[in-house]
Amino acid sequence: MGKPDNIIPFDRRKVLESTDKPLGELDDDELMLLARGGCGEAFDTLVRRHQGRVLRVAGRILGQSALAKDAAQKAFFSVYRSLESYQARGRFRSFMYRVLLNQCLMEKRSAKRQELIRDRVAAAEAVNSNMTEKKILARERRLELERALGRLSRKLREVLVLRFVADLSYAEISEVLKVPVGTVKSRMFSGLERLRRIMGGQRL
Amino acid sequence: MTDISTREMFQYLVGEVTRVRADEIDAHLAACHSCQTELDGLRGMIELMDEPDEELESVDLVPEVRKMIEIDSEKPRQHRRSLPAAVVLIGALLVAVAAVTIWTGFPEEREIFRAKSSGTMIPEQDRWVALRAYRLGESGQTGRLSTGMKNDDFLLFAYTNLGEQTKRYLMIFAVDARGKVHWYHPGYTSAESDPASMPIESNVTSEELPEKIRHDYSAGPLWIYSLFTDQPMKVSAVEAMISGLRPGERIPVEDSAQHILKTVVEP
Repeated sequence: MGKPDNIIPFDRRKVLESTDKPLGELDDDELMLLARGGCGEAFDTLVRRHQGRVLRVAGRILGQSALAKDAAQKAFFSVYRSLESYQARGRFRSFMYRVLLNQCLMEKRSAKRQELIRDRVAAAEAVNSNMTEKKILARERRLELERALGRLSRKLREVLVLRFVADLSYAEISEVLKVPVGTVKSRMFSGLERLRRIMGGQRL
Repeated sequence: MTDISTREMFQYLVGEVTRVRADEIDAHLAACHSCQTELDGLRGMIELMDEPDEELESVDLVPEVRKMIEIDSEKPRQHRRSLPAAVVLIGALLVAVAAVTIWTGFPEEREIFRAKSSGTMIPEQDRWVALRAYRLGESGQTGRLSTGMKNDDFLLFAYTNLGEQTKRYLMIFAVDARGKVHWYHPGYTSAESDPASMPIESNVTSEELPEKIRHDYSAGPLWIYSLFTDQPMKVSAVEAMISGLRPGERIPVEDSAQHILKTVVEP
């Protein structure tokens, strides 16, 4: 049978290749599949690829850097536990941030954690004495932002953090939070306005 | 033009205003110092949200995560997975009662019950296969197919075929909003030919198929099916099977693995 004219040989510009690529060049789904097949390095690569953003998101959601590390760590562990059931559908980031938000919620709810926060914050304060003025100022600005984010409702805070910290698209946020894209946008603008008001905007 | 509201400034910053309105805002900002200052403040606030926390982000989580995985793997599986015997017994009884009721009492609903179950329970074999689709537009831009595509986009495909018992044959086709079937692999356009599934590679994470393919779809939802099987199948047999299915429903082929993508064709 001859090829129909709507089928054209592609010019072998590789969209994806097989596993002979270095792990760092594989996409998230491929790394998850390899990890499921027993390749520990594939999962390490996945963790290292996302850990910066995941830690930053956890920090903004929890408002406590000290807790963010624990939440991020547990979230990655949960992702690992989900290897068997994970479906490679190109939605790893939505999946991972859903797991992370749940983990952050659990961290916040844990009464025991609150005691730990106090201890760790005290330890962090001690480190501050060695910081440069520039770093102290940056930290102050960040703390001010985290306090302001902490005063938003959870719904507004999550949308802002997923959009501007995790850098997810509206469609991805819609998947993570299971709300329509229109709701995502509406919460985002309400959140931004409220945040501006809290942080001292004069116009609102 | 009066001052711009804060909400509209945010909309302008994230690109959620029309081109015409953006031009008007640009013109206003060029002449209004106070609005420009306000806009800079709002932009700074958004940028601050994404400012890295060097102290926190310098942490490498891999060793700790590995430790958690090791500890978890040393736990006896029985402790992690098993349920108390009483719960298992009660569960089994409930399932048995439900099964008998459905099987004997409501024969006409059997298919509905099965279809609903197949929508929520992912068959084990489906977890080891995947289909990826890529758009190739007229202007040469490429991208992973997600929620939408244009009618004249070419599509490219790559598949995953892993697991203990990998599949040997694959078919890829789409069903558009009007129920018309469009074949990608094997290529098929005339009723005279009735080609079969194509043989595929085993144990591949991502094998790209070397053809770009375009069809004339109806606007609206488009379901793209990948059917991985142990034996080759004929196009006519598959078309007969899918004619009675709901859009996106799993094809009732025994021992097959499937991955169904959904996108929307823009008018």
